[in-house]
Amino acid sequence: MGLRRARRQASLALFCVIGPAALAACSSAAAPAAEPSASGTLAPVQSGAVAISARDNSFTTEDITVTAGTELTWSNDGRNDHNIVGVGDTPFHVDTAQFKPKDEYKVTVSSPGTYKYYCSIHGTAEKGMIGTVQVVPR
Amino acid sequence: MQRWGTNNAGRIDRAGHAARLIVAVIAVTMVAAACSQTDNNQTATGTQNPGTTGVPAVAGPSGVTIRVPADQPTVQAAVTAAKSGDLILISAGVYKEGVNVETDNLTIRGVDRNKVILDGEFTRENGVRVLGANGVAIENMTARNFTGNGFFWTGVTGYRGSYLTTSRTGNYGVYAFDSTKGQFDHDFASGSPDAGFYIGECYPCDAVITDSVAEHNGLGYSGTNSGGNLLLVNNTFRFNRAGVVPNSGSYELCYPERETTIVGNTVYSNNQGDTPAIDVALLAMGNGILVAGGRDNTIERNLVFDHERTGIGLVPYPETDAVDNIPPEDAMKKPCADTKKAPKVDPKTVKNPVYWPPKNNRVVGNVVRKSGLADLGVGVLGDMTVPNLNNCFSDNTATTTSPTDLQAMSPCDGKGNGADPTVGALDLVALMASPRPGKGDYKTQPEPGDQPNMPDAAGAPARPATDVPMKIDVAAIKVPAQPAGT
Repeated sequence: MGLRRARRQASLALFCVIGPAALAACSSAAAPAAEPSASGTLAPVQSGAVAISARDNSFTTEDITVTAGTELTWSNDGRNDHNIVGVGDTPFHVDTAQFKPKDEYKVTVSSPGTYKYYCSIHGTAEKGMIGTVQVVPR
Repeated sequence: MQRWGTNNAGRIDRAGHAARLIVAVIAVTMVAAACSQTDNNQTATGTQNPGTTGVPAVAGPSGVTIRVPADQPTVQAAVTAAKSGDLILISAGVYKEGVNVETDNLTIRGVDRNKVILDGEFTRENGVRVLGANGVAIENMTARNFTGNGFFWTGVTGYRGSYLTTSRTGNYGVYAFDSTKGQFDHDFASGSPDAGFYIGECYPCDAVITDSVAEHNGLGYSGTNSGGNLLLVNNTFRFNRAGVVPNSGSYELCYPERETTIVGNTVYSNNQGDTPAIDVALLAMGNGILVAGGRDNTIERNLVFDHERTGIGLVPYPETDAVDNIPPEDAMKKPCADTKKAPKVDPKTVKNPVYWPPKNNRVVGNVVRKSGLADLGVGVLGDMTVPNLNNCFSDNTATTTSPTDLQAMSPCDGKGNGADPTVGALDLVALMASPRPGKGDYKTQPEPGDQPNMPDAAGAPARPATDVPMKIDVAAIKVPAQPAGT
């Protein structure tokens, strides 16, 4: 999986510039379904730029499906420190010191697969503050 | 994907793997018998329910006791070895460890609350962290010197913390998040910059905090975005920066805070300027019970005295960096789980600052005195007015209110007298801008003295948190008597 990281875009002002464009891309990119989720519903496939919110103490949306080449941006929208730890081969990682409230963490995902991650302060690989990014071919 | 690992996974397993389930039941029973380090010859009983991994778990006590350090050298080793329903019984000692629990229905108990001490040495995050394990009860011990929390449950159904003491913790003392069906009783929490007790992100919470004490914290109690059958009754909140602060904000899911019942508490002298403090605690300093942007709460028959600002205050919470707007009225009953599925909100659609209004709160029959600004107060920001917030006040014993004629203006029964709500109004803008004492260091807060032990800690059987919360006869609770020496 190839990665292009622009780590810790800490400025909220910068995020306000980046965010709307990113979300606009995100919202316009809903496409046909990927796999059924645990709830039996079909998750929409997103592409372009996708935002994930780390709040106290959850990632929202927890489970997403994106096409290869999507830029993911996690923002710490909470009041607490968080981090991102990849499970197994998942190459997402940002330390607590680089993911304070208002910080951002960006990754561009290029290889299809299912990538699980969590915040080690508020969860483990399976429980608590966890998330999954499923990457499908473009 | 499996979310929180329990019910969905359990249903799938039960439907598809009945044979494996039966084998697993037998295996669990055999393992429990085989590892009976101190087995008292009871067999596993109770109903079968899906465990966190889809393996059936024992809901009731298993009869197995694992002693620390006799059977396992550390608390974590005992927890790792334990099966659902086991009792972990910890002997007196200072245990320099933090414990993670991922097994359902454990009872983790110290033989002496004041002598069984988990010590984080200011390097470990949590004394005990329960992650997605349902029904875990922790009893009769102390957690101190942790950089995060003393005792922390997250993502569980069924939790109980009884006869617990926390001190000098960097975040919260006794803490339940995204969890339901819980109980904190006979606990003592001190020296946290956020809150001694915190129950957050749950609706309905179905939880109780009772017979507990919080002091020398930023906030005695904080509950962000929690409520729904959430009872704070018969507790003492004193010597914190602020006493009881239910609050709303979009930095956690499941907003707003709502439907918390606060009855029969003794709340006094929450003006403590040397406590550690998060920013909200700095703002809230000098208030006894302060509803910050919460709604539909019941505040009745509390004894509240000696506060620099308000005894009982209802104020908006101005969130300057909100990530969502206030949900519509018809979303107030939405279960928390649904909110995790929502995508991140487009920031340009959020109207910052978001003023979370204190609405529809009921303040009745409290005894409030010796407040610097007002015994009872309602503050407004933006286009709010006191009448349109629809809070009500009746039968309170109070000398000063803000606005001046608050109880006659906004009674709980009948029509108000139409008094001018701007007369004697709180000037929230000025109050928020006024200088407050800086933050103290949580590492140097006072150590609590010895606290009462639970009855028969060494001999009582395991009691997993499958019978919580306890039933409370709220109507029978009276205003507390004045504490001796105050």
